[in-house]
Amino acid sequence: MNKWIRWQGLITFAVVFGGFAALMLLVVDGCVERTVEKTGTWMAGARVDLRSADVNLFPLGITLKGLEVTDKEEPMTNAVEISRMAFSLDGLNLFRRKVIIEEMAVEGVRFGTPRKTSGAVAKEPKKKKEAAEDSLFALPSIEMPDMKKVLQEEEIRSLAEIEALKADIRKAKEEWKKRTDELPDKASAEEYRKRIKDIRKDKGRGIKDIQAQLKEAKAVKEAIDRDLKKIREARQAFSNDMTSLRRRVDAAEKAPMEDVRRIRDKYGVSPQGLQNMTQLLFGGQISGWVGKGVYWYGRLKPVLERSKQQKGGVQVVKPARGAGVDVRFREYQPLPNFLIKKVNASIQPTAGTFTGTIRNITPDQDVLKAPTTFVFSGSDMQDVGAVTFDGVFDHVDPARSDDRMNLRVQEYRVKGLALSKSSDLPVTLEQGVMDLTMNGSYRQNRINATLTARVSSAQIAAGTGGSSNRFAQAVSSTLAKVSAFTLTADVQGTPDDYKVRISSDLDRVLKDAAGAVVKEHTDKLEQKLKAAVYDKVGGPLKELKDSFGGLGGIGDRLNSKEGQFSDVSKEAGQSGGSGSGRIKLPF
Amino acid sequence: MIESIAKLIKVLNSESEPGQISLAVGFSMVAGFLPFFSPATIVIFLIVFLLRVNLTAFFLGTALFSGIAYLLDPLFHPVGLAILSAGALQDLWTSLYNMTIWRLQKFNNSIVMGGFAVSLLLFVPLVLLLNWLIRRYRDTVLAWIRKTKLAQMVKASRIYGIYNTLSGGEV
Repeated sequence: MNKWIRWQGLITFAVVFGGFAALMLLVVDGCVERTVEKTGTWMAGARVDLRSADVNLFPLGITLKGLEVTDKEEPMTNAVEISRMAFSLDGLNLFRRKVIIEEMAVEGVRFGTPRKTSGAVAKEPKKKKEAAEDSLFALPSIEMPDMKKVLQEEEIRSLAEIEALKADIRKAKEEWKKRTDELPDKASAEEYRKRIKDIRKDKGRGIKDIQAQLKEAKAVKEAIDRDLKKIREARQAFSNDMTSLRRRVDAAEKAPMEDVRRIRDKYGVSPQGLQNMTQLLFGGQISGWVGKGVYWYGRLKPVLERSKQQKGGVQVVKPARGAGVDVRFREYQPLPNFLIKKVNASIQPTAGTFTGTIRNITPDQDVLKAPTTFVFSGSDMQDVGAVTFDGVFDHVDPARSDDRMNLRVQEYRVKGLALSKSSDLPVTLEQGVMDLTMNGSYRQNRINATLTARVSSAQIAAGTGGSSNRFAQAVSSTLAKVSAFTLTADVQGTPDDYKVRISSDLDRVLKDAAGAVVKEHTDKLEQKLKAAVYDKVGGPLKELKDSFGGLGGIGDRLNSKEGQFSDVSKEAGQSGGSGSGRIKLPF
Repeated sequence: MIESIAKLIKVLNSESEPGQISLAVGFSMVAGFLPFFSPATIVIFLIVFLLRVNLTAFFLGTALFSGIAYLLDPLFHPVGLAILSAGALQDLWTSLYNMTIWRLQKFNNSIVMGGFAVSLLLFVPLVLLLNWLIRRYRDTVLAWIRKTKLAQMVKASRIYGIYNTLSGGEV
């Protein structure tokens, strides 16, 4: 027996593992601290710092102090700072790799506190969408543009049209001149007259003579009528061409004004642009707030739902790190892998204290069969009447997740709230009383939220940034007179592509104020553009008209030819024979 | 690396029973294929410390098989998943899943289960094969080396005598 058993090995084993356990106890606080910082940094995308972590074994619990989560967008600011978090753990379930926290106390939560050092973890290129949001507001220019420059940069389409028409008229003129020349002329008419005279002079009295005269008279008459028909057809074609060209000349005369209007619309301020001034003014700032909300929601998502899939007919869960998959089996008493049953939080914004409860924080709601809920309220707060903020993150059925939240703030005495940070037109709500409601939902990858702010006793300061822009001045002075307004923001779309539509009763007031300035500017711009454009197209347009007028000569020639041949035709008709083509016989 | 090979040669050439060495290597394979911080590993350490197996061979083997385990993860995963998904074993796994100690062992992880199954499957064949190989080595290679003139000269030297006295064994 002793050949195979080494009893002293037991002592060695006890010393090795006992020592290891003691060592673990010594370093566990540091391990927890580093784990919180590392995992938090991974989740927040910015540095997470923890001043200290204290692990108690009996009863098993952890106290975290001085937790700071950096705002990813502003690395010198903490998005959240928590002075103390304390919770006890279910030790037995911890051995089953289940972190079950019955109750957690979160104290001294503050937002937007300054940092001593930067909390940036990596420089990420700004997303295109954010860049677009930054440049959302652009003050309409009321400056009169330099006409020389404008006409250098802009294509005068009417000029090209006039030149093309001039060329067409020139071509038509040449063609018609040639065609008119080819038509029977005065000499031909005289020839016919001579032939008619000759028939009349013929003194033959025999039957045969008369027959010959009749035949000759008929031939002459037919030849005259053929020529007359040719002339009449040409005249008709010419008339058609003239009608078509006249229409084009009329259009060419109007074309410069179309150029004027097109360039005016490009360089001027469109009255349609004034339809939603609040979107223009406050869109950038409000989109920024919405963007932050969507960003933090995205960061929280892994806490609400873990990715699960079916493999080989069993449900598997991919661990956050490491390889392989964890297969889940039916639990006699199902419990999520991570669960905080209740969090009692005390948030300390500058306005006062805001307390609330969050229940059932778990990424395995389908196991717990209960959604995450939260209710926060603040009362007797400085500068705020009453605040309630509640919501449900329902991922019990991950395929039909349904997240909702509602915020209601009453009688919030606002001070110095920046509504627009545009350098051209900064707008600040210096003071006012605001009632704010927000209802939002996220279902089937679609955000649907409405935020309504009713502000009374408002004092708005709208600067012009030292700009002499009359539009900015008009908007600024109008806003200064506003004492109450309602602002509504509708957010719709997916988290990657959402639209923020802002509307307000300020739209009408601002439109009236800015509309007069815009109209005056537009009229002036149109006058200047008209003068500049006509200066360029005036000459070619006159040449075009002259050229078109020159076609009239061809028309006169055709008329003259028609008149001559009509006369000859009449003479031939009076000369004898029967029917319309008679030539009068000499007997 | 050279130090490890030297240690291995020393173990092979020692007077330890071949069974003590091969069993140590067998246990090291199980320990190497399982996660280091798990109840099963602690049990294996207890067995290894308690049984008179060669500890040097065990530690060398554990280091070697831990490295091999990383390479074999793609094999362990499908094997483990197939075992954990086997319909006939569902009741067993379900009952184990509800026991704290087994959850701590993380038996429901496909790689842990795959590694454990493969190591159990290979344990007996490996021990028997190593037993035979060690005996063959000692009967042929080691016996031939000991008969060489160089070995005879070294063994006859005074320095070797002192070393032998201090180390307490024959190389």
